[in-house]
Amino acid sequence: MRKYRIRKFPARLLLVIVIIAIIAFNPKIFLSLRGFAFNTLAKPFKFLTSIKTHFTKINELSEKNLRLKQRLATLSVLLARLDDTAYENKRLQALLDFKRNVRFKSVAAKVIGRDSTDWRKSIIINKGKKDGIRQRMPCATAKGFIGSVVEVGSSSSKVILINDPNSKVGVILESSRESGVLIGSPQGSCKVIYLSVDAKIDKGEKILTAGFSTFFPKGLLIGEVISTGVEKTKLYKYAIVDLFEDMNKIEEIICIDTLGHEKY
Amino acid sequence: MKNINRIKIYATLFMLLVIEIAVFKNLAIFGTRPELLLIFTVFFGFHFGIARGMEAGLVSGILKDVFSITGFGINIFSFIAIGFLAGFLKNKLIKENFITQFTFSMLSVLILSSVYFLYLAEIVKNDIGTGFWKVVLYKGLYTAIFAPFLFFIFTLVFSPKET
Repeated sequence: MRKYRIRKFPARLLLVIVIIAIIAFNPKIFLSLRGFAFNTLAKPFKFLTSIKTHFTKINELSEKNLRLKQRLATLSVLLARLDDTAYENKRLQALLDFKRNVRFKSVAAKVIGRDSTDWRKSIIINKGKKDGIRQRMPCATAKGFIGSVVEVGSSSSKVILINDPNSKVGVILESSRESGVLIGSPQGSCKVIYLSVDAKIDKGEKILTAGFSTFFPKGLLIGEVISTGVEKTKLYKYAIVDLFEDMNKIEEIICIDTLGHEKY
Repeated sequence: MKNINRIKIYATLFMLLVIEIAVFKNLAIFGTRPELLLIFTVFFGFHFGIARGMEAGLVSGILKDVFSITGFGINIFSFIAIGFLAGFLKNKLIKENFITQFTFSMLSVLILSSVYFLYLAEIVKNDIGTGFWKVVLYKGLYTAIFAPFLFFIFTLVFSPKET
């Protein structure tokens, strides 16, 4: 038994040496064998690493997800702000165009509050005496005339809107040239009264400021006629008016200084 | 009577005014908003008596008048009167019943609107009667619907205790 082992040993050794020699002198076989050995031995490590990577990736992904969610929320806010700014820009551009066409100097103001009661229609603006606002200054938006200043503070003022029950504005109808007085109501609707009973007034006819007083300039758009009727006394006609500007949604206005110097 | 923190009362009133003007501007029904300050005044009158009811009415009225072009004092007068009435009826009504809260709030709107009607009729000189009372009805209902909810919230905030 022992002899057999001793006899077999050099043969095996020789075989190993021959194999090593072949491998050593043939780089292709050496590389492929080395690659095979490496791959086989590395498999358990790869498996363990993949588990670790998996968990690390989950952590990273969840962090990334959180970061992306936060970014999305920020971007949504920014987008909403951008939309709002774009809309504001559009409104201000229209207001600026309107301001350029007005013959008088004017002061732009933002609406900062509204009347606390439902029966009166007024707004509070962020400009006052120190900005050049005076009582009875007419106010307008790009869509047209909206009211006049009634109370002036140092840095804020109150503007009575044309749909207030106590508002009275001299107006003229664009094509029929009929003149009357535009009044508001506690419900917020407007009508033109004191129109001559035989006046021919078309539906959709535009209503403009008449410019009879020193305060309100002539030709500012107000609204259009939606229906007409005759007063109970049968002496005058009246016209129900659809205002061009939605009085509940005014955000920026200009106050026209009709008593100041004209621009041109 | 439980001692109430006045700062808490005035802060609540101011908050209600802001909600009424800013939030309900977009939730107006037929152009009307609920009278939150009026509900507050009624609540104080009902639960804390005439003096506190009138005090709440006074502050509510001042706040209303400051933010309006209405002649100064119209709201103060009306709100104090409603605060007094609510305080006067404190022990004569089942104030915890939501029907009482609903009805009295509607009645308060009617009182307030009547004062306005007289005031507007005096200054406007035009016919304001057409449609006015219809709007009062909407306003009264809108306010009355809110009254039980607000009474519940105010009870939690101010926890009134019977004397």
